[in-house]
Amino acid sequence: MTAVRRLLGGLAVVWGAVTLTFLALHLTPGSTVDAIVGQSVVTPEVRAQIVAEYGLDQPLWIQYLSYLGRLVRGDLGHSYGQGTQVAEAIGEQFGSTLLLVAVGLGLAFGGAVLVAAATAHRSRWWRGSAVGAERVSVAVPPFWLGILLLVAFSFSLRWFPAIGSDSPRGLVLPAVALAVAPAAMLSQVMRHALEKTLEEPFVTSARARGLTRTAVLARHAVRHALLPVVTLAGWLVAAFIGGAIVTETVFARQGLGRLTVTAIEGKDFPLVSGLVLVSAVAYVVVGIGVDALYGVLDPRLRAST
Amino acid sequence: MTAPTVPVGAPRRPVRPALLTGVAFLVLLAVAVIAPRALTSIDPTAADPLQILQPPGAGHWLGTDQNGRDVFARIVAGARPSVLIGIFSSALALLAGTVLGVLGAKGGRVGSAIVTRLLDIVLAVPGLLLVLLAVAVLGSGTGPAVAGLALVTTPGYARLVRGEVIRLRDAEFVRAAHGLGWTRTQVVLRHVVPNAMGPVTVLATLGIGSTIAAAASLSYLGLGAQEPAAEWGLMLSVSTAYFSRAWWSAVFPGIAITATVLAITVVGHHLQLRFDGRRAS
Repeated sequence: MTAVRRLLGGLAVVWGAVTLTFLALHLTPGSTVDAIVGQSVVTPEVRAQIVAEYGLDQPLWIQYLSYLGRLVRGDLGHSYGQGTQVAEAIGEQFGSTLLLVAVGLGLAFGGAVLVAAATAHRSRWWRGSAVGAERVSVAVPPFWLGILLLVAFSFSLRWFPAIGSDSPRGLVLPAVALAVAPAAMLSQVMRHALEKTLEEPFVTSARARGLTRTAVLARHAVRHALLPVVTLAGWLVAAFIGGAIVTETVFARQGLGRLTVTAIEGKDFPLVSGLVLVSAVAYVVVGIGVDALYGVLDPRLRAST
Repeated sequence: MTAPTVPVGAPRRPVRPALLTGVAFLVLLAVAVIAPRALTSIDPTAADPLQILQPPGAGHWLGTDQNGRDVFARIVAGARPSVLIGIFSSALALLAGTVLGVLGAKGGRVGSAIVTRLLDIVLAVPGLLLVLLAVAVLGSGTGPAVAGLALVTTPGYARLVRGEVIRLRDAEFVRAAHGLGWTRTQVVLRHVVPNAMGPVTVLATLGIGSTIAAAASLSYLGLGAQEPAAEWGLMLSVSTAYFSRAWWSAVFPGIAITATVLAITVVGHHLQLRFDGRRAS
């Protein structure tokens, strides 16, 4: 029952995002044909074809319904800027961004768990410097961090290829630039949760049974500390999608982020709408996945549903 | 008989170096926004072809850029657009968020349902993407950037205001006002809203920092401020073509952004703690 409600809620959000972009397309100053064509040059025949295809001579609500109808059939429209179908353009770039985001997420989680575990309930000085470093890391704009990494590790030290490389080595700097701010945010939340967990009676009893601090952390406490992090998932999706947009631009990497910037610059509306749809779906899917994950992490929640 | 020697007055407050540094930086920033000439006499737009990409030194503290313009003067001049975008979009979002939040709490079942769904939808689109969408519709420039950033931050404020208004529903003074025969609108405008604004104002202060960073990203992508304006994100964007030869033009504007965001965060957190403490007591 709750699963069905979740799914319907998710669909409502996606529908809302689609409606938002449809309205944006029609609120754009100038003719809608221009908005669909963007800055590419097309013949009058193509314009006439667009008017027919989108039903632009029809009332707005019919246009809206036919737009929804095409989306349901998986037709995201044609990108005149890219010269391909929108779905195709997005599909081509999807893998590259997914890889970048996956590696970035891995780095952010791994780093946050290590930092939080190493500094929870430790000496004031040690803990304080971690908090300070986290505050600075959250404040650093990801695109500037990317520039700094390029200046330091590509141009001065020459450890990593500068830009546009698809090799695993070329993935290191972009992933780090993408991961630092979310990692700092995550480790703040995790340390808070860890410190609360370490004060629980079961930790004392585990220590009394002779478990080392590391063993208690690894076997018991980290799992508790992951719970509040899971609630941040929605924020993380937004942070990583936004981060990918700027990071891919800094490192001149292929991917959805760069595609987004190109689409906006070229006023390529079908492509922009498709990209908004993809990220709204990602947000909803992550939300549903996270709800399922709650049950795995916290058995108490499983019993209550 | 002598009086006991008990220290009189308020207990000594601990010195907080981070807070002091943050406040000092914000004061400096305010000077840069209001009277940039007080910090430097160099014209931020004066190009000098003989002084291209000079490293930091006596004449130019932070070096010069690809047109021979003084980087320090441009950073000082860049404070105004960056800070004003942050303040304006946060103020706009605060206003819209308050209206939506009150509607969500007091607008009956239908109003509440519409507002919550609307907020969910806006939250489902990643912030930067939404700002880019606004730029696509309104065109690039400062105005669309402010509108887009306000759109992105509104849901957070609206949710908080809605929660506060619902919390205040059963407060003594609200009941008293109803009992005195005030109309619903009067009670909401005169009593509920002013009392609900505290936490959301603190949040908006913190929001100025992240908005400044987001506006810089937008300019970096070429969709915000345009050349020859002195704006931090734009300076970084231009610097990327030269940073293998001139690290300074890629480093110092970024430090300005980071320091600004950090100072606002530190001071904002302090305000938040004090505010929460006052409410708890």
